[in-house]
Amino acid sequence: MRLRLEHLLVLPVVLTLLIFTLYPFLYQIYLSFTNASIYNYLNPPFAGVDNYVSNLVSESLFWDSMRVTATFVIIVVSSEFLLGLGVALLVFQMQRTQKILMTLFILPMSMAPVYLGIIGRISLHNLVGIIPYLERVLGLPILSYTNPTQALFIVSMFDIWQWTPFMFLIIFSGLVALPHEALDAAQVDGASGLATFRHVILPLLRPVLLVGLVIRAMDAIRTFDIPYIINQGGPGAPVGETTTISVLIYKLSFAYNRIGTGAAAAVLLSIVLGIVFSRATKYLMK
Amino acid sequence: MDALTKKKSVALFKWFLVTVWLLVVVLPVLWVFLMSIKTNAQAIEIPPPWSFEPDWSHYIQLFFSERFELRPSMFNSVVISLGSAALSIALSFPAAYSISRFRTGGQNLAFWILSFRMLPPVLFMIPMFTLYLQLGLMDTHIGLIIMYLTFNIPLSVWVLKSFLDDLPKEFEESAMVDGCSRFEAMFRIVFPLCSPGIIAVAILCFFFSFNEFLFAMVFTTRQARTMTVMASIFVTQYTYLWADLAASVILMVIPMMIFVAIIQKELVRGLTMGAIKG
Repeated sequence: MRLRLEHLLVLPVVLTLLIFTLYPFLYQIYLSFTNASIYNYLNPPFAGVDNYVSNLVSESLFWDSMRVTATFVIIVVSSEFLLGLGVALLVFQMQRTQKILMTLFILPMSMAPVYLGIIGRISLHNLVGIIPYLERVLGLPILSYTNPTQALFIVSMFDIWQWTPFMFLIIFSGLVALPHEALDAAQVDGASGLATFRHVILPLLRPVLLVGLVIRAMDAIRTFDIPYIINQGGPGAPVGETTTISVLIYKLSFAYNRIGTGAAAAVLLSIVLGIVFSRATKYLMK
Repeated sequence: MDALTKKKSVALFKWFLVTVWLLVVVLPVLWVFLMSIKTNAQAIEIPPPWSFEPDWSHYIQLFFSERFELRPSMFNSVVISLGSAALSIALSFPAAYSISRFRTGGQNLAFWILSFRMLPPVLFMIPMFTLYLQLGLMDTHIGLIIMYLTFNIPLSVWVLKSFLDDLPKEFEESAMVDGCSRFEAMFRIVFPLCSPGIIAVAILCFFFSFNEFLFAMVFTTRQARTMTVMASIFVTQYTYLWADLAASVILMVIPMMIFVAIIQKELVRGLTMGAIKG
């Protein structure tokens, strides 16, 4: 094959991204079979499958964290999807205020997740936080991120606040782009609001909804900032109630100095994601 | 008459729901802003004081007090985010052009590039960490700029490709008939025509790099420490300075809000990697 201009043009991107695939993936697999730590990462002692055993069997690190991650992803993506769809449908019906409402509704996205985590941590503080104060005033149960049954719910709440606007924005832009004829025809035929939604809007909106769900799910799987800032993936250790897979790999490598075990968890994550991706692309390509 | 009242109450109910959501979105931000103009003691007073003298000194202190080391990290954040956005566009524009016009590499290449946007960054973290230690790229601006390319390049390639797909080929073709080479046509004709897309992509790259935390925490210690890392240190080191913290949050949110407003038209396309043309 002759190297032509179009190949030269993609070469810089391909080379840059190759640096981030070939080397890291091979090296990560190598590290996952060693006892690497910050002191001996250049020449780590061979550890056989020990790291995989602690991840999968003896400490069940990987599975416990995947369970947390999956629960988190299901909670936030479904809530964000339903809320975003609801808000988008409401705003779509508002005629004059659409523009200003849209600008206000995407406000949470412009806050860095780290800042949201920090603000969340302060507002939840038992003595000086505004949220426990309001809960006391209103006679509601007090939420605490140190409570094992509430921690994941609290982290999800912040994620939902931040990313519902993303779903809203995408679904709303899909609604605006809908063909007017279809909506008008449904109205002329005397279809009720619910029937119009089920039989006209939903089928037309399907591709938009799918794109939103896929992107949001991919981003939710990697969530790190908010659970890490609010309570370092705790309560509980090494795999706490909010230890998402990113938090686990970070903590294993840098807090517990078990780089080999962290690498093994990362290898397992690539395998799981690889399977999910190939299935998902097959399904979406159909 | 009955139908009319029903219609009115339904409309009223819809307005009620929208208002509730508006409060959910706006009140927390408003609360942080109020914290930022109280004194540090008032900021955490429970119950919150309802009337107080606004104290704007925190905003001034953030910039002029030596105590916070905020200026160097702000500078680092801006340099790294600008650098990564610029480098990403310089590398991705030719690639996007090639993929859009020649279908280079077919679907495989395009999806291989996209897969980087889908993979969690934590997968690159450990091997790149050891590599950076060996290469001396730890705690350098260029090191973090390169790391941010992992998510900025796929974003740029796909979003630019979607803008280029919309651009008629006639412009460059007529320029090439007039004796322009393909390469010249790309940079002299297509690049300027594509500028709204390029600006949108640059802002998005800047936005994601500026808000990034995991890589920034792993790959920097002091010299290249960014705002997000500084903010997380702020909480542990200066826990009594709540109002200053709130001021720094507001200070970071405002430019991001302006950016989002600038690219509002292209925002949906950018956030969905060009899959949905908002």
